[in-house]
Order: sequence, then C-alpha cells, then structure tokens
Amino acid sequence: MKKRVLSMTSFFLIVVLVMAGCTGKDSPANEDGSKTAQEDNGKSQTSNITSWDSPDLSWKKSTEPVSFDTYIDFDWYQLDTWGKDDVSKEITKRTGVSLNVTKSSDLNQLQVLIAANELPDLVFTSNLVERFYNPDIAYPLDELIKKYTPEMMNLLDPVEIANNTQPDGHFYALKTHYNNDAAWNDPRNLPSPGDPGFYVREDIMQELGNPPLESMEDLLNIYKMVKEKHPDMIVYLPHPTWTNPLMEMMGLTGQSPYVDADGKVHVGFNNPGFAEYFKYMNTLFREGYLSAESFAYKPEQFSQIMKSGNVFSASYNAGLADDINKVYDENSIKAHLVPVLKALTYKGEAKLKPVDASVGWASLFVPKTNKNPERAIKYIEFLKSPEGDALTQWGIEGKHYTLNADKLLVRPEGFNELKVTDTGIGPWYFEASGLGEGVATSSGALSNPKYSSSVDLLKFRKKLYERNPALAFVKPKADTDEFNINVKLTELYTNARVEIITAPSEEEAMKRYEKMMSDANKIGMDKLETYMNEAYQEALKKYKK
Amino acid sequence: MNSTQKFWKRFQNQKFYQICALMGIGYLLVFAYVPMVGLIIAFKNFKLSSGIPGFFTSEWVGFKWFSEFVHDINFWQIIRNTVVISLLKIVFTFPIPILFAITLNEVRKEGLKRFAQTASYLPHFISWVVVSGMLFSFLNSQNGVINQLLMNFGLIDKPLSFLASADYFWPMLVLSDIWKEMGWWTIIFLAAIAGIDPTLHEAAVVDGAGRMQRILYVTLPSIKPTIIVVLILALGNLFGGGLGGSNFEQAYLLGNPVNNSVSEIIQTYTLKMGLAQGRYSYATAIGLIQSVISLTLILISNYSAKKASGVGLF
Repeated sequence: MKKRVLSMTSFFLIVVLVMAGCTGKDSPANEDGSKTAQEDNGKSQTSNITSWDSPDLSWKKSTEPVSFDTYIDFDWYQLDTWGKDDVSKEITKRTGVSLNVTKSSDLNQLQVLIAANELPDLVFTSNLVERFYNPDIAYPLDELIKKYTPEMMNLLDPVEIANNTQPDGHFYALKTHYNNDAAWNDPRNLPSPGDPGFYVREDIMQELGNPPLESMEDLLNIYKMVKEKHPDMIVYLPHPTWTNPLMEMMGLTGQSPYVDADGKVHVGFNNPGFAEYFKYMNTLFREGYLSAESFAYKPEQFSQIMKSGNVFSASYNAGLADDINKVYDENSIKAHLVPVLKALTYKGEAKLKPVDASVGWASLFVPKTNKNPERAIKYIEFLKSPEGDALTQWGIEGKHYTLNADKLLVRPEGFNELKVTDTGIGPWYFEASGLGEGVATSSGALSNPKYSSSVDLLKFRKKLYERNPALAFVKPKADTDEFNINVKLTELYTNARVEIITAPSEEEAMKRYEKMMSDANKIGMDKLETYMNEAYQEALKKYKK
Repeated sequence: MNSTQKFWKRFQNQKFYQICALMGIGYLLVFAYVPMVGLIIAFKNFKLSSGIPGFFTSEWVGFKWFSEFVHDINFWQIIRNTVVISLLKIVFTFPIPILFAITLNEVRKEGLKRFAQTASYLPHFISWVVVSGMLFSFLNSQNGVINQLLMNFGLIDKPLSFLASADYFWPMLVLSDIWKEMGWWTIIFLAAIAGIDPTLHEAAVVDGAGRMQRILYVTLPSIKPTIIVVLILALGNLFGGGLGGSNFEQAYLLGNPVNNSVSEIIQTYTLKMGLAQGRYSYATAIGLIQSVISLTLILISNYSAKKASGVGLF
C-alpha cells in the first residue's frame, strides 16, 4: 500500500516539477560551458586599430558558423526568414552568422519573455527599451566591446556612445539611424521616411483652378470647394496612428515632449497652442471634411480606402504619395497625390519646425541568455561597420547597386521589380546608420524618378529641422511613478484628442480640452515635467562636456 | 478488514475511473490552482527583471495597486462599461437560445429544423477577429452594405457611423454576440427539451392543452434545471461576457479612440495599462478585483437559485 501512496505522490511531484521546468530556463551560456562576459570581468583589452577598413577587425577573425535565436519586436516587419534572400545569405557568407528569427505577433510577447527569463540570443525592439537597461537582463555592450572587440571603442562616435549611455554608465545598445552632425549635413542625407507628410490630389487641385494653398485658412477654403464639387469624396483622411502634419504646421509635437521659449521641457500636449489646433480640427469635423470614423480605422483599412481613389487629401508618412500613386497607375485610376511642400501659415504665422532628438530609433540588445556573447558583439561590429551598413541598407555592391560620382546609388535595370523577400535589402539593418538610410532614400529619385515625391518632401523638411539630442533623455525609467504617469498621459491624450475633435460645437470642444488638461494634472503631469526638466538639464551638461 | 483496506479495495475496483478523476484533479491543480500563487504579486512591487523568483523576493506594497486603480480617473467609467456591457449581454443573449430552442422544437419539418440549427451554430466557429473584419465591411460608412441598404430604402439620408460612435457600440456588441453564439447554446437547451418525457406532452394534449400551453406548462418547467445551471454559469462569467465569454475580444477588436468612453472595460484596461507596459503587479491587482466580484456573483446566484427553485450548482 505504501508503494501505491509513494507512486501517487511521485506522480504529482513529477507533474509539478515538469511544469516548473517549463517556466524557467537556465542561461544557455552556462549550459554549454562557455563563459559570460561578467565571469571574465577585468579582462578588458585596448586596441590600436583606428579604421573600419583594418583587416584586423575582430569580426573578420571569427567566421565559423554560429546561429542566434533573434526576436524582432515589430509585427509589421517585412521579413522573418533568414537565408532565403541575397543580403542574409551574404551576411552568413561573410560572418558565419545566421539568425533563427521570431517576429512579434503580440505587443505583450516580449514582456512575457523577459519575465520568464526566456529571452533569445538577440532582441531588436524600440518598445519599452528601458527594461533592457539592466545588467541582469542584457549585456552592457561597452563591457562586451572592451573584452571581445576593443577596437570598436576607437571607431565609434563618442557622441553616439554618450547618446546611448545610461545613468549606470553603461550602454546596452546603439540605436539605429543615428546621425552625427557631419552625417546630417551630408547633402545626400535625409530625415527618416517615417516623417509625417500632408498630401493633396493634384488632379483635383487643377480641376478647381489651382487655388492658393499657403495657409491653413486656404486649406479650409479648398476643402469647401472640394466638398461642393465632389460631395461623395472623403475630403481629408488622416492616418489613424501617425503624427498629424497639420499639428506640426502649428508648431506642435503631439505627445512628444517640447522645449518652450524659456528652455523648459513640457509634455507635448501641454503646449497652449493645442487649443487652436483642436479648434481647427473640430471645424474640419463639423464641416464634414473629416469623419469620426477615420480615427476608428486600422492602418490597413486606411490604406484600403486610400487605394480606392476617393480621397482628396491625406496625411501619413513621407512615402504615402509614391506608394498610392503606384497603385493608382497600376489600376488605371485617374488620380495623383502630391505632398504639400510648404510650411502652411496659421493666422499669418509659419510654425513648422520638426524637432529631432537625433539619437536614433530601434535597439539590438544582447540578452544575458545569449549563448555566445563574444560572437554576438562581433556580429554587431560587422553590422556597425560601413561594410555591414552598406550591405544591409543598400544591398550587394555590383549586384544591387553601384555608386555614382555623387556617391548616390545607381540601381541596375529591373531593380524596382525585385521584392524585398528576394533582395533582403533593409530588414537586416539592426545597426543601421542614419546616413545609410538617407542615401538609399535620396537615391530613389535616380532609380525611380516617377515615384520619388518622398525625396522632395524630406528635402523640404530637412531644411526646417531642429536637432536636440538632450530631449531623448527625458523619458522616465521603467517601473517608476513618472513612467506610470507618462503611460497614463499618453492614453489620456490618445482618447481625449478624438473626443475633442469630434465635439458637436467649438464650445463643447474647448470644454473637453479643458477637461483633458484637468485630468492630465490629476494624473500628475507636474511631477512628470519636474522629472523631465531635471533629466534634460543633466543631459545638456553631458553634451556640453 | 479494516477501513483502510476497505478503501483500497474499493479504489482497486474503481481503478480506471479513479485514475481518470485524478488526472482531472491533477490538471486543475497544475493549470488552475498552482498559477494562483502568482496572485501574490498583486500585493508586491514585482519587477520584470526579477523574473519568477521576484514573485517571492520583491517587496510587499499592500494595497498600493488596488488603490491606484480605484483612484484612476477612468475607474468609474471602466467599471460602468464592464457592468453595463455584461448586464446587457446577459439580459439579451441569455433568453434568445431558450426561445430559439423552443421554436426549433416546434418546427415539424425535419429538414428545415436541421438547416436552421446548423446555420445558426456555424458562426460560433468564426473567430472574433474575423467577425470584427466582417462588421467593418458591413457597417462602415464608406461602402458598408448596411448603410447602403438603409439609404436605398430611404430610411436614412446619410450613412450612419456605426463604428465610430459611442451610441451604437453597446447594441453592436449585443447583436453580434447573439448572432455568433445563439445557435451554439441552443444545442444545450434542445438536448434538454429532447430529454422531456413524451408522456407529459401526451397527457397535456389529452387534457386539451394547446401548443402554447404545452410550451408554458410542460417544456419550460421541464428544462428549468438546465436553464438555471446555464444561468449560474453565465452569471459566474458575467464580466467575461456571459454565455459567449466575449467581452474582451469584442471590446479589444471593436473598441477605438472614438468609442473609448463606452468600450474600455476592465480586461482591455488591464492589457493596455498593465501587461503592455510590463506592470504585472498592477495588472494582477485589477484582475483580482474582477475575479473577486465574479466569485461573489456566482455564490450569490447559486444561493438565490437554490432558494428559489431548489436547483443549484453546489
């Protein structure tokens, strides 16, 4: 009988232990006996190499095959299979590295991976990156560099290091698409294609006799004419999630923090100019130029409606007109979108001044669960090198491009028909430089002049840009009160802005606006702004050094 | 033979059934009771970086997260939405399958009955993601079929903004839930009706009862225990969405910034402000509040049902 009791107890124990085994994962680095960077602390090295062209770069010396499980935290990412396209094959050929990619399917997936200590070897993300600024979760890159690729410290831009260095003195990633001043001032360079753009239909403007479009007031007048002439047409369709360029025209930054005339940082929607913006947008809504439904669309529904050819003006990223015009042409729809290349005035004043924190976008982290941090940092060194940057952002030289006298990319014939799944140009750029992307974008005017209005738009915006890297440091750290306040303010703004814009009268819109501001104060906007200002002043000191 | 020996003898005789039951208990223990240990973090300052051990090592913060939720500026709005949506769905979706089952039972043409039953339960197998896409196609104001029909019949002058109006959100949830789940729950009530002793109906016919009277005095009283058990289960899952259990899916997929004032419910708020931000302690505290309310509801409804009709779950 005792045996039976024992076997029953054992059965339950086994079940519970098996389940417990599912929840935890020992560090693979320990499993295979390889040492972690921390175990070898103190073995940091220095190097005399001062050029990315050196044959002695660390990545060039370790090219045995290695595979990294990689998590890409963007559900919209174009590729999630390694080794089927030209670029990924070439990376493996040159470095020995291949990736086993998992693409995010849910915005909570990464949080769960962190909590369960089941992070893969590499993580590429721009969401809640503050969670990775923790030596228990990710390797500080500076430690890995000092130990395995010491020459990188000589080759990296000190400002880039400063941009990414956290208060604990380490940097855990080097954000993509960073531009230093020299790179930004390169005439080939352009702002990100993700920049907002405002578009109108050129064909309808001609039909209306090309009325003047110099101001937001002119725009209202044009909308009125369109509504009269084409009552069934959607007059203005903003992208449901993108920064609104009309807001930018009024000198506003949405939720992003801004610096006032006294040098104080504020939460974006705390800008008093928002009252006028909301009044304007509310007018568009009440006059029937903008529908409430446009805020309810999913991005793919926005795209579907744009392609129908029944929209007069729209706003989204810099590439909207090129993408949609292509669809119009392919489907013989007689329509043509053009970007508005003017800073429209409001009440006689032009305020368009895009602000860029200039520190970059997404981060490639090496979690502590990485099974081979040495090869990981060497792979990062390759990606960071001009060779890796050109390969991932431009393609294979001779096959996908040649450089002309202006150092712009000349694409071979038929290149525009190739798919990204064949070429692999773009998606594997985990350490992309801003200049590399800028060159690829501006070269689009050479290879595909018919669909290159984004280049004109970005060139126009570049002239107005203001760069302020210290602003990148005002974001509160995870798990702090200020972080929670920031999250709640973002949620408040996201919902309240729509309620304000869709108010039945201007008076009601202003009432709702005041309620939003009062709620923001209740949530703790003051406390957040105090934190932001302290962080901003600290960051300014860093850049003055 | 002492009592222990008797027990093992009985166990030996029922070995197969006992093992089946034990496997069920084991499943519940592992997947329902062991995870409850995690509720501890509702009272702690759990940080993601501390991983699973952090459940036990992180500092106690008492009712901090509960207090934060209760003092949230949206608290009453979220509670109102959760309660109203749940009640609307119970009130409107619960009786429909009963009525439909009775109606189907009265249909004499076997082919028609089968067709109606199959057609009504097939939507149950369509996921809410697909249903939300279908609703967009049918209801949008640009080229939605419903708006075009209403305009063609001259019932409206301009398209109605079903998807972007707080006024239509709750009716849209209730109607789509009825459409999707009615047929599925009808099966249970049809099975209960099939189990009614036919002699009861025969006796009623002999007594001169008409069709309506037989429904009222034979069919309904006979399926009352089934109705009560299903009602208790639905009430227990009141905040989850009652029979269909679809509150989260509907609010998440059909909710948008325009109808947020009526679509934000406890579950979507937990996802947005808790899980998506990595605030697991906060999310657990909100989830626990909902669980406690749901448990209270199931206990009250079971007690009331037992008092009123003598039928209860436990």
